[in-house]
Amino acid sequence: MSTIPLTPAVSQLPTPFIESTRAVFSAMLGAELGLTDTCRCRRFHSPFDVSGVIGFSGSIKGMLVIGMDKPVAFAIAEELLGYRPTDIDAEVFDMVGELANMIGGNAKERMGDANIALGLPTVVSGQSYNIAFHSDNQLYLLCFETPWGPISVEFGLK
Amino acid sequence: MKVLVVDDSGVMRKIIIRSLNAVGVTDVVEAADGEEGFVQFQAQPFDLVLTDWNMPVRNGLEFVTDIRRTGSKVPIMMITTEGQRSQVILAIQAGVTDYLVKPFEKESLRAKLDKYVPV
Repeated sequence: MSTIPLTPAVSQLPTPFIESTRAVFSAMLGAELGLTDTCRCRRFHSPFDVSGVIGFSGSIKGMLVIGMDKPVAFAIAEELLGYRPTDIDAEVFDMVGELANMIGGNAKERMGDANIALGLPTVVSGQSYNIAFHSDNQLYLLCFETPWGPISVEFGLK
Repeated sequence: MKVLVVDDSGVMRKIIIRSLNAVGVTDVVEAADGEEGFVQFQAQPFDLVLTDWNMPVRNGLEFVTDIRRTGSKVPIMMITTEGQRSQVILAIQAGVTDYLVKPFEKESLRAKLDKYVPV
């Protein structure tokens, strides 16, 4: 997978989210993430086994979704907890939610606006599901390569 | 040394407890929100409290306020994604004695814990 450089125009809004995702994985997991693709998109669908969702309210409204497949989630859980889950259980849900929480919180801090509030994370998994953003939201998709496989960070903000 | 760890994320509690274990602290009580944490706090004495901010039922700021209302001087470290200066000031005003922003490196947490763990 090749690394795609960001143009200044495209990079402007995603920058806090790129940096926050990298900061979370670097601090908590000692992993340096490669950004493999980034694009603005008007349709959202999650191809991943498990997704963590966290909402923004206040001066910026919308939500952030981090998605990953089972093997990636299990490997990250093993790094964080010291043992490898065998299924998407409560701990994997909890971990993916906490990743969403930390990425969202760190991005909020980087945006430097005290009037942005974060909700509590929600996690979904399954064979087929969709997470719908509000039609007014500007949607972004960020794809990262971790040492354990790909993850996505998608967000829609208004 | 007895430590109370309050966070709605079980994974985050485990990460924190691993760091506590690494500095020799094994007497740890867990709670999943500020209300449960305050019940534990009233039930037994603690030498250190580690708490998240954003939690359901009763958040970390309310929990810290509850503890200080009892007159307790126990050290309280808030471990949270809330990193803005205004939020840190709010936490200190509520009675927090130390502050660590998530995400954190294990070494950062251990360095903070070293201040409270007797040699």
